[in-house]
Formats: sequence, C-alpha cells, structure tokens
Amino acid sequence: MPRLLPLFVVVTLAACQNEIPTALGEGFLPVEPVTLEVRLPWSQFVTSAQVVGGFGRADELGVGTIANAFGGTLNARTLLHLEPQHLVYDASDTLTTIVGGSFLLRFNPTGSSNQGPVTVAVGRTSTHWDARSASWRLAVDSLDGQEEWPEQGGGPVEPLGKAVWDPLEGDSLLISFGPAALANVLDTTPLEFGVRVDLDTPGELVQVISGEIQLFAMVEGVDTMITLPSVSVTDQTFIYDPAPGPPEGLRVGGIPAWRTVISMAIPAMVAGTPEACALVTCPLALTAERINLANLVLSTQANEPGFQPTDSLLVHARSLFAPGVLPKSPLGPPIFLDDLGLAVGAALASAAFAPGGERSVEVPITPLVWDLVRGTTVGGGSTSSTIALLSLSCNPVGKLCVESESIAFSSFAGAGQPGEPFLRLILTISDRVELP
Amino acid sequence: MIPLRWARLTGALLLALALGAAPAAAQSVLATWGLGVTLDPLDGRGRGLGSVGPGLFGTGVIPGDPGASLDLIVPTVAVSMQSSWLQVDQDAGSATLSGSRFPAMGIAYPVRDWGVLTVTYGGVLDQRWTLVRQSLLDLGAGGAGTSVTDQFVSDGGVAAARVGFARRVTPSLGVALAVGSFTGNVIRTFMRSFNSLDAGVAVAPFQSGGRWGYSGVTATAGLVFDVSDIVRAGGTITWSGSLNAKLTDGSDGSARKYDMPLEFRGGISGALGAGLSAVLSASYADWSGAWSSLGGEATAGTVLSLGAGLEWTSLSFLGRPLPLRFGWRRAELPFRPDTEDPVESTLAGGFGLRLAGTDNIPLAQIDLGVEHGTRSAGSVSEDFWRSTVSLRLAGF
Repeated sequence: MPRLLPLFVVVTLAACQNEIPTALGEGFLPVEPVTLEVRLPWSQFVTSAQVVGGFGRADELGVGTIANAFGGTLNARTLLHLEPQHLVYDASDTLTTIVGGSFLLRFNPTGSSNQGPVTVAVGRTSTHWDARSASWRLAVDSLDGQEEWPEQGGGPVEPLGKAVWDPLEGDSLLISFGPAALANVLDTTPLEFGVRVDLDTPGELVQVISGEIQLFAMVEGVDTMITLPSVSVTDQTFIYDPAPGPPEGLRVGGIPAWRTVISMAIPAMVAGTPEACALVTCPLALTAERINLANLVLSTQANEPGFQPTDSLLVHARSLFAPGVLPKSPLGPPIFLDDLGLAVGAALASAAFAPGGERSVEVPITPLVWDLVRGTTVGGGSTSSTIALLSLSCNPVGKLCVESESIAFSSFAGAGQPGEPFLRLILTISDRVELP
Repeated sequence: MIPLRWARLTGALLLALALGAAPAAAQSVLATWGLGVTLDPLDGRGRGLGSVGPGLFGTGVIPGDPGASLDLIVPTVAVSMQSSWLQVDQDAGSATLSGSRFPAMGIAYPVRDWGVLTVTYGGVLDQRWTLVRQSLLDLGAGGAGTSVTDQFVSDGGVAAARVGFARRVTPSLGVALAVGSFTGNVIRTFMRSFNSLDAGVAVAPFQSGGRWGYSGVTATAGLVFDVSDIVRAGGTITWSGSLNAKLTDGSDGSARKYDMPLEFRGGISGALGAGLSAVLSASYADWSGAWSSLGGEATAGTVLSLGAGLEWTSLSFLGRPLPLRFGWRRAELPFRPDTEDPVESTLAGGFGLRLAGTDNIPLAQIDLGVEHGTRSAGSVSEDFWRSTVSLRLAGF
C-alpha cells in the first residue's frame, strides 16, 4: 500500500481544475473607471498635410478598365499583349487546319457599373506600345523618347470582333472571330500582338480581369473539332481620358495613385469630462495606457464625374520613415494589423463618393498614437509622426500589395472645409488599483 | 515499516507539487470583501471532526497550533491538500467552480528530550477572486452603444511561515510557542475590454494593477492539558503585528498596513467510551482593527467559530486502524459588505488510515475530511463540497 502514495498524491490534485471564484455584477468593484470620447480638431494634432500623386502604374494593377463616357466624361480602354509565337503553327503540318477562333474575356461584375448588357469590342493594335508607360496620348513614354499613338486612345486598331456581355449570364464573354479577323490573328508577321478592348455602350465602366485567344482546328481524318492551347496575356494595362483635376481636399487612390500625407503632433493634455475629472487631475494627461482607440475621422466628398467608385474602396494608413524626401519616402509597415496579420483599414462604400452620399469614415491608427504619446515604439525604437493614407490592393496569401485599387479614388474634406478631419480618441480613466 | 525510498519519493513529489501548485482556488466569492476569506489551520483529521482549534487527542504538525506536535518522538513531515467544488448563486447567475490548494505543510523534529521543533507554512487569508461586470457604454459613434466588460482579478493571498517549539513541562501539561512571518503576495488587476463587433473596430482594453508582497510578524502561544488519557484540553492565542503590504512591481500604487486581530482558539476532547471520543472547539477574533485600516464599503467585526465532532477508532481495514469521524462546524467570516454577517456552516465526515506505525508512533498515515456546507451573505449564497487530505510521513 505505501507504493500507492505517490500515485494518490498526483490523482488527488490532478482531479481538480483551479478556477477562481467569480462574482457576477455583485459586490464592490474596487475601481470605477470612466470611458470617454475626445475629439481633437485638425488644428490640434496636425502640423502639416499634403496630397502627393504619381504612385503605382496601371499595368501593376492586374485589372483593366474599359469605359465609354462614364460619368459623362471618362473614356478608358484596356490594352493586352499576347505571345505571338504561340500563334505560329508548323506550316508543314498539313493535317491540321485552323477553322475558327475567339477572344475570351473575363470581367469583374462587382467592380463594373453596368447592371445590364453592354457591348464590348476587341481590335488588334497596329502600333508598338509599352504597358509600363502607355497613356491616352502616348504609346511609349520612356527615357529613350516618347511615341504618340497615331490616334489618341490606343488607335488605330484592326477590328477582331464585338459581342454583348450580360453580367446576369456570367462573368465571361466569348467574341468569335470572323474569317477576316481570324486571318488577322494568324498573321504573325508583326513581332508584337496587341489587343485593345473597348466598351461601345456609353455611360458605363467595366473592369477586365483577363483575356485570351482560343483557336479551333480540324485534324484530317478526325470528325471532332479540337481546341488548341489558348494564348494568354503577357502584360496588360489601361489608358484613360481625361485625367482628373487637382484635389480640392484630401485624396487617396486612383491610377497613378495619390497619397495624403499627414504629420501629427499629439497634445500632451486633453480636456476631460466632469466624471473623469472627479477621478484624476484635469486636463487629462494623454498616456498610451489610457488610449483605447485612436481613429482618424474623415468626411467623404463626391468625386468629379467619371471617377465615381464602382466598388468599395479601402484606405490604409502607413508610417512614413523619411517625409523630407517625399514623394520617395519609404513606407513603414501597416499601422494596424488584425488577428490574422492583415492590415486594418477603412472600407468605404462607393456611394460615399456620390453627390449627396457624403459620410464619415474612420481610419484606425491606435498603435501609431500610442507610439507618439510614448515617444518611442514598444521596442524602444524611434517612431515617425508622419503617416500616409493610401489605397492598396493586397494579395491576402502572399501579402504582396500594389498601389492602388482602381481608376477611382477617394476624396475627403480637407482642413478648413466642411467635414474637416478630426482625431477620435476613446480614453479610459481610472483611479489607481489599490489594496482595500 | 514503510520502505525508505517510497517515503523519499513521496516527500519529493509533495515538495514539487507544493512549489508548483496554485496557493488557493475556488474558496469563495465572499473573498471579494475586505482582506478575503480566512483559512483555518486544519488538517484532514480536524476537518473531519468539524474542529476549529487545538485540543485533539494524538499528534499532528499543524500551522498555528505548535502544541499539536507535543508528543511526537520521530521526525515527521505532514502535508494537507484540499479540493473544493463550489456552486455559487448570485443575482446575475450561478456558476460551478472547482480547485485545489495546499492549506498547510510542516515538518516536526524532536530535539533530544528537550521538545519538538516545528517548521510550518500555512494559509491565513485567501484573496483569489474575480469580479465581472458587463455594461453598455456610448462611445460617441452612434448606434446602440458598445458592450463593455469590466473584470477585476485578485490573485494571491496571505500565508504564514512559522518556527515553533513544544515541550512538556509536566506529564499532564505542555506548552508551545511559534513565531513567524506573514508572507505571500497578491496581484490585483483591473481590465475593461470592449466588444469589437459593437465598436466596429478592435478597441484595446484598458488595464491597470499592481502586485503587493505581504510581511509582518506573528506569534502563537499554546497550552495542552491532559487528564490521563480521558480528557485533553488545548488552547492557543495568536498575536500578530501589522500586516504590511508593499508594492513589489514598481507600479504607482501605495503600500498598506492592516492591524491583525488577537485570535483565541480552544478545544477539548474527551473519551466517551471504548474507542469513542468527542471534541468541542471554538475560536474568537476581533477584526474590527483591520476594518479601521480598510477603505471601501466592507466592514469587519468579531468572528466566533464553533465546532463539534465524534471520533470512533475501533474500526480497522485490512488489519490497519481506520478511525471514523463526524463533525459540525459553524464559522463566521470577518469581512462583510453590510451589516449582515456571512456565515459558513458545514457538516463533516472523514476517516484516517494508518499505513505504518503504531498508535503512539504513526509512521505513515492518511486522513481524509469531507465537508459539505453553505455560505451566505447578502444576495450571494454558496453550496460547497470540500475535501482535505493530509499525508503524514515519519521516521525518515
């Protein structure tokens, strides 16, 4: 029996879980904290602000845009390059005959303005163009020189076909080639195979995700028509006209993208409420421990026609490490990450940028404000008091981001305008935790 | 005789568990008031008898009762382990909790024929509790408000480490003295957390708190009086200096000092017949001095505890003595939220099992005491089961 003693001891204790007795809403809470909201006007926490443009390129976005007088003004066309050698077939192969082909386009219905059918046309470009630098006026804009389009807007093109896309029937469109278009496609004499995608239906904007050429062939002695391997896009971009005017307030996003750069100085003291001042000395000292939330509150403004978002937009806040060398100042890591490690920004409904749809949006910057009131980061490093509000399109898997999301941008009221931004702080004030 | 290697293994295991175990858990929600819930220095035998003090037949190594080891003639180590199952009913709902703790441990060592030296460590006040309160706050963003949870956690307690000495001055009279120091610490943390779904964004919780370490001097004098083997009476008086609480984590809270009460404990055991004995005991302490040191809404006053029990030692199991015990106990708790006195009432039972040794020289013994009781004060009522197992090894 003595041999069972150690086992007895272990079993006695292991049988129990330690749980602390919990009183629910009963008894005397040793502290009675006060949580209050403090709104810091723009002039009390911003030392300077500017809107800087020119970030990102349309070809980096991975999504094209086609528009025809969208918002009454905006025209946009998507340009695609395909590998021409993939269209070359062995001439000695007399057993295979190309009998037809089509251009397959895939769209983003949620990022497109149309609710009903629209007509989309594709044509082969006849001019060399550079996806990195092409614009409405220029086919190439590089250090080696500029080359204008013979016709502004990516023209001229040799038509390959057109068809009607109805978003209710799916997100893809097959534009079949006629005999002349098929011959054009199979003409591999030009070293470059470019395609321009146009929207014929006025007043709409459509986002193009991808395009590819499909060719159909008959093999001698076989009754079935076969589909040859598709020819995919190697690069793509989009060009648009007119360019948006200069920002009247704050602006974020667009292609090329704008950033709003704000330098801040958080005051050491803020006014308290009577309840808070009954607990501690007023004015209230701003400390990291007291700050539960710090959101930059912006008021949206209607965009100029043609640049109304067709889908929700995201605004992120990032630290700027060297604001003195703008616009090339490097960006810091995301200020606010969620539990999954993804950057937390403000999601903005597209209606917020339509006339009459103005509303307040909040960009969370709590960790940055903690660092600013502490004077250092948690790790003791220096912190930047300048942030950039920007629009990023991030791949949640690889976490690679491009700037920005779309041709549309976000407009916000600036200093001195109705809806001037402010800093919203949620503070909790408490007397000290003491022994009874 | 118990093999030496098993004694060493068990002793080492007990020591490891004692160092790693939480000091206390699942005692009482009533610990939220004042300095917490008092912990009586009792082993499994005393719990089974409903005892609240000294005066039991036999020997023991019990913190706060240096006279219990008076007649030990071999070195002895004793550890008590306690498990509790608690059902708490409050206005805001009910909860079931469980936990385990080490209320006491000690070593006794006979020094020649001078007497018995004891070193003990035992709990004095349990301060483990949590208070949770939910409310709705308007954070200024419109909507229906943000759900907020306030949680105050007190984790720790006061214990006492004592060195004692007991000696028979006549065959029927023994005296004992123990001096020691309060020890232990408490971490008190308040956290207000916000429902992120209500707020629309992650809102960082507010947190504040501190850690205090306890110190202070305590001394206990004891007396044991035997009339043959028929009656034993015992009593202790415990004096304590101020209980000092000092910040140990560098936070900006302040130090506190509490007046601890003079505590009287007494008990008498009498043989009723062959193998049957009865025990009556009582304790008294006036905590109003501590109340004057307290802030807040809690009050404190005099505490009277009473206990009574029967022990029947004629039974045996596999040739080993198997004493059975029954008891009743009523104890007042010193700290209260209003004028209503919190009271703990228990019915107890238990048994002992001597694994090795004789009546006079128990070398290995287990005592189990099981209590079922209630506590009530204000809108809080608790129904609990508590088991106390004491393990005693000697002769190593």
